[in-house]
Amino acid sequence: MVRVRGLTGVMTAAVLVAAAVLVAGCGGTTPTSSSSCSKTWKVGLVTDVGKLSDKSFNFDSYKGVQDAQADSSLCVQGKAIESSTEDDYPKNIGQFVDQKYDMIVTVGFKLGDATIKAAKANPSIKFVMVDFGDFTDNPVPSNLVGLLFKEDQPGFLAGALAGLMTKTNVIGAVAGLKTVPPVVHYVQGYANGAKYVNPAVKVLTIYQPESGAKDFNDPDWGKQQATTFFGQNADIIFGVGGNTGNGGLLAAKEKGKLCIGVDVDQYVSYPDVDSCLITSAEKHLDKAVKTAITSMVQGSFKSGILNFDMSNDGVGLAPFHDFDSKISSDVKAKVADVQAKLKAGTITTGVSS
Amino acid sequence: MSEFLQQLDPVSLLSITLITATPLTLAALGGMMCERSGVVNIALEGIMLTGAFIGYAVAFFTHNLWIGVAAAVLSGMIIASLHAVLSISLLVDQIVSGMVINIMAVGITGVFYRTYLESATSAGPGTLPHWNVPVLSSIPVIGPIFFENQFVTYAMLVLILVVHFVLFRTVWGLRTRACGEHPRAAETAGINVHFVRYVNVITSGALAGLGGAYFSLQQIGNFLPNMTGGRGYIALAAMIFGKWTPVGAFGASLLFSGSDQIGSRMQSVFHVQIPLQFLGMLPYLLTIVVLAGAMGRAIAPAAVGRPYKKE
Repeated sequence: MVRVRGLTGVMTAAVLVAAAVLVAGCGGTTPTSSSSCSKTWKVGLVTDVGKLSDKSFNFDSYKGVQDAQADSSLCVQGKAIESSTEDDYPKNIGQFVDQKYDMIVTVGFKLGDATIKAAKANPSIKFVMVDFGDFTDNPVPSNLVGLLFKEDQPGFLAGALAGLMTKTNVIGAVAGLKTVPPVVHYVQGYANGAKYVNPAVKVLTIYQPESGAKDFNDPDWGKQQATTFFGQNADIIFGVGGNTGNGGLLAAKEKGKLCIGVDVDQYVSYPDVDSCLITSAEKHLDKAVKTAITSMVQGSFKSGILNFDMSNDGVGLAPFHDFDSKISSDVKAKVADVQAKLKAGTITTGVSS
Repeated sequence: MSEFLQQLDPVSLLSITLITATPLTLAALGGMMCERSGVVNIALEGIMLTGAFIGYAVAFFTHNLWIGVAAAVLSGMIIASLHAVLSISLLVDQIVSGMVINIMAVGITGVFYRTYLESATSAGPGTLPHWNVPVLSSIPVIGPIFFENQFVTYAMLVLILVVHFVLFRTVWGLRTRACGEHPRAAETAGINVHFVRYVNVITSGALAGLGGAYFSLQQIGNFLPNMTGGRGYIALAAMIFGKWTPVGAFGASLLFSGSDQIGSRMQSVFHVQIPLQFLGMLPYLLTIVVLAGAMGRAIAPAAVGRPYKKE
């Protein structure tokens, strides 16, 4: 009996494997071969110096391209080029231009200048900048759109959760540069959100001084700041600033405190701190990129800025993961209430962007 | 007053200061061994970076942090041997040789990291454990500052005493200083100048390599391109400020890292309205002021920086 069951198991497994191979094979051929597509839209994505495997900005943005490709009604064919150095940006954008791509997506503010330049030189190609919209030129080239996120809203929501979870009534935020607006929006939203649910809470914040190579890249510094905050009785740290913020999260993990990640679900992108991570304040980059691609395919592409916030589900909180069972239903209900109010616009974060 | 004390939180301030002074002190001790024997070592930065990288890479693949620490030390010694060969045997200008190593280290570690480690999906090796020394760690104030640390910081505290002892209480130390002050006279007295310099340069590599382990294995549990961020150069300043003595260099390192911490507290705890850039400048400003002679003249070993050619 056992043997028979074992054999069936093997056979089932074999069938499954075969099916998987088949599916994978199908995935390999471009979905554009479907006859319903009168035109294949070629979408190229250029990463910043982080790679597609960063489990963060580049990964999530490219997921948007892949989602669009998987949606057979869009007839999209996606490709990505990874940049190794900052000098690669114009070069990699140029590769897609030479191959006559329909849309080129660039990830992060570092590619901003190169993208604007390329957009002006190639008016027939649509350009999408993820998380960047500082147009110094007016009017904006008609083929260029910047995807922006209301970081203050997920920040506010994360702050509300922290304000409800803190036992000491002191929480902290370890942030990157103050000169980068999204960082400030997150932090101010966090502070206001915490005070909205818990007026007695004290919020300690620190921004990293500018230092060139170490900007957003000094986890040791971030760790020291979080440790200082623990000395001030803080029990939750919001890390907002790449590796610098990650240092803050690491300190929280080592000292047995709680931590909150940023931009993407850091439970996935930074597994080292899973045991302290109650949530992450997220931007839904994949959704935003897919939205931009869809607008091109459907002929509704508009240049300028495309804003993503709670109301169009462009931002939000990541799952609680390991803390799902440890956060009381009362706290969850209150956070959901704040989220609903932000979505409906009945409360604002009090952060001017 | 009590609120001020709570905000200043001197115990935590000193504890963090001691921790962040660790790589500065270790590199400064290394620089000192080197320069006391007559060889300038501005390659400390590159050696630390290499140590941080190799230490992490080895710990990552062996899943053992201690093998990683050993590898960091060993890689420091190997890079330092290169500096020794170039500057002692081949009589290359010591500054040029050091600079070559610094530039090379940034490039090579960055490339190898991006190629082999950055996209690794398995979890990292973690960080070195915290060791609380029994009894001693329960002493108020002193305990949390000195006796609740990790390996590299403990090693730093011990090595300050060791280097002091070696330099000023042993025959080897006397020979080292002789080679740094007057190599010709030392040679005449029967000391093998090249041998003494080789050993000291390689020792400095071991110390700076251990300093590199601080970044990747003690603090972060990961490697990041250029993660030493110029601390090797600040260590050189600490060595000079400390007048080429271990205890002096340790004090200078504490001052530099402490000023960093106080700068941070001004912003986060005391809410002093000074532009962040000024607070960030504090340790560097201090370095300039100190090196410009506020602490009196620091006299370098007389023969430092000059290749020695046997007659």
